[in-house]
Amino acid sequence: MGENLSYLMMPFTDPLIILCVAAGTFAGIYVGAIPGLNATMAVSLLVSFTFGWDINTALALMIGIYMGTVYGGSRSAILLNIPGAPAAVATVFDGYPLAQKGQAGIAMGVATVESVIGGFLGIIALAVGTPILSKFALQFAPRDYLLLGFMGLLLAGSLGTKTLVKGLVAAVLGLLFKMVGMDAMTASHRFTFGNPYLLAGVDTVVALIGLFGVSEALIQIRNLDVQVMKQKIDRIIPKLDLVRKNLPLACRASVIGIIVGALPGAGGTISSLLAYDHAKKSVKNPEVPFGEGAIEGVIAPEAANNAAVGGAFIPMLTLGIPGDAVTAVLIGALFMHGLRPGPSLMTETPHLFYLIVGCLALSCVFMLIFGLTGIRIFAKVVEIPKGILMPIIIILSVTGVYSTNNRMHDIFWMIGFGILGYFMKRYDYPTGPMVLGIILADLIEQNYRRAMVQSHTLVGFITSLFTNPITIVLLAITFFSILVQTDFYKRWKARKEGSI
Amino acid sequence: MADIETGERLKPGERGFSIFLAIFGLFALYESIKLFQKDPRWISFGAFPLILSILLIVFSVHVFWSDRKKKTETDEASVDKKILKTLDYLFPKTVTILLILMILYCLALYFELGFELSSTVFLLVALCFFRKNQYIKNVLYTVLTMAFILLIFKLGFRILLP
Repeated sequence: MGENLSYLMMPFTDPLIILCVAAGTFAGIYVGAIPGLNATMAVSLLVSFTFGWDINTALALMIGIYMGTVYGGSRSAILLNIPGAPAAVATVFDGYPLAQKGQAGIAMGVATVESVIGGFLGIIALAVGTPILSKFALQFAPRDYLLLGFMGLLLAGSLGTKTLVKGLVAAVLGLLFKMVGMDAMTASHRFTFGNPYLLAGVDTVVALIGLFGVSEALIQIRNLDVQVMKQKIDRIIPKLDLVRKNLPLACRASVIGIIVGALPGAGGTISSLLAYDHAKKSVKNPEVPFGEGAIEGVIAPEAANNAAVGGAFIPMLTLGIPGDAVTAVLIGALFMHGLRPGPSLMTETPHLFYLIVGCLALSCVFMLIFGLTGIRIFAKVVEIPKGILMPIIIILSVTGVYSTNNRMHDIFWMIGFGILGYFMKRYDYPTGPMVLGIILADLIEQNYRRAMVQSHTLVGFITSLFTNPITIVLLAITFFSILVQTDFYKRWKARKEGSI
Repeated sequence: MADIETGERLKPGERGFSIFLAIFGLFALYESIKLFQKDPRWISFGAFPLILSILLIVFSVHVFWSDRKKKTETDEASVDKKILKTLDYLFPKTVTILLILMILYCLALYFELGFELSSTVFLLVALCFFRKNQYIKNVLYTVLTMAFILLIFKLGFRILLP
């Protein structure tokens, strides 16, 4: 316990960790504020650059970036009417109208304070919930992990896309790409076509950078002519009365953020939209109507999206299932450092959990400091034209991919994934499930094979799905996740709502 | 059905993309069957790819099937016009230029022209294309960016550059 406590305090006492969290949060705020750059892209690049680092410092930097980016997205949402990160999409609705009324400063100040409140509440949920859930997760059998993996893919596939099937196509593509190379259990070659370059398989980081970095650069470069409206910045620090008055709303929005963030594949975007919707329904008489500059419309999504950060770490640390795309990348980073996220992480390396909690808390402190200062410089940074930014992202992507394994052919894999990701985005196939597929492929396949070995036959495996309460619950959730996406269910629901 | 009622249109080449994915799935299935034949058990190394290939085909065909009645802008056009429209949709000038520059940049790195030279040329050419008539500023941005990248990654992170 004493050792764990020392790891919890390490981010507040170790100068190097403090520096990494501060630098990460600072950079994250700017990365998040620039439209087209997001947390997943930034953390993917960092995974490759920090490969040779000590795990503590690497994690500190990545956590700082993650927290900072989620918050930083609100800046361009308020100043430019463009969400800098997907999680800030709901902030646009009232943040930009506030800026148009000359209240950009106060909107950003409120966003900062509420992000910090949400962030801290998410961290408390993480600190309390994870040890309990991880003890429970130790009872999971391979078939349960298999179902959990599928559940993650299903949830990721169903969110952020018009149809579930397109999400599933993306998820299966990701799983299939990860089959390339040498089988981890038997060393047999799969889809290598006698090519030695394919033996090592698809590197997760390379795929991540291609699918998130290169494809996003190609998408963003399409609209070079977006005009940026300049804003006047005045008062920044919000009045204490305003914060106190809206504290219950911030707490409720944070709870939404934590719960949604903890669902595999959901993350900050969905939570901020749900929290905004909740604010609209629960705030009866706002001073300004929602959509025209209601401050509650900034408070709710900003508290929720940062609370979702803590929530997203819960399934990652307890089950090895990412809560969102960034935690998926962080799982990749932990694997690269020889660690296995999941229930065993809490028993074998509990100090790492406390370090993560400490780094997240410190990141919130820095978020408050950096968030309330330098806003005028900020307004200039978010105006960097895409024509400058996107070629720089390509160079950073190439550098990041090469530095992961020092292999030139990885760069061509990256281009391939970048083009595929670009096509997918143009045709409304989400890239998130594909990345989750690549990351979860080993977990799903290995547990599928273990479950099959335990059950001896296919019939035995199917029967085993109905013998354990945990498996039955997971199976029911998986089945329900599929059912709610079917046309049959949607028609039934529409009929039911119509008859009321 | 709902899509037809709301009048949602397919994007140029969208149907072709689902066909492409189905063909890719068929190819993966063919290769998976060959793997499965080497060890025909459900716990073998060929079983999971086989299941995934089948799923990819099923899902891609499902996408194609549910899109079959949707209209596209090019429904009445000839095949070559459809192809041109798709290419225009996927590869506008800016995307094409960035893609070509990116591939040339990677080839330059592959043929060991050096990270510093290749990256500087790539960045300068890209900036000059995307920000015309601002050549002096572009040179300045290139120099500053390259100095920053080299400082951070070579001296700061001490990583091996391509």
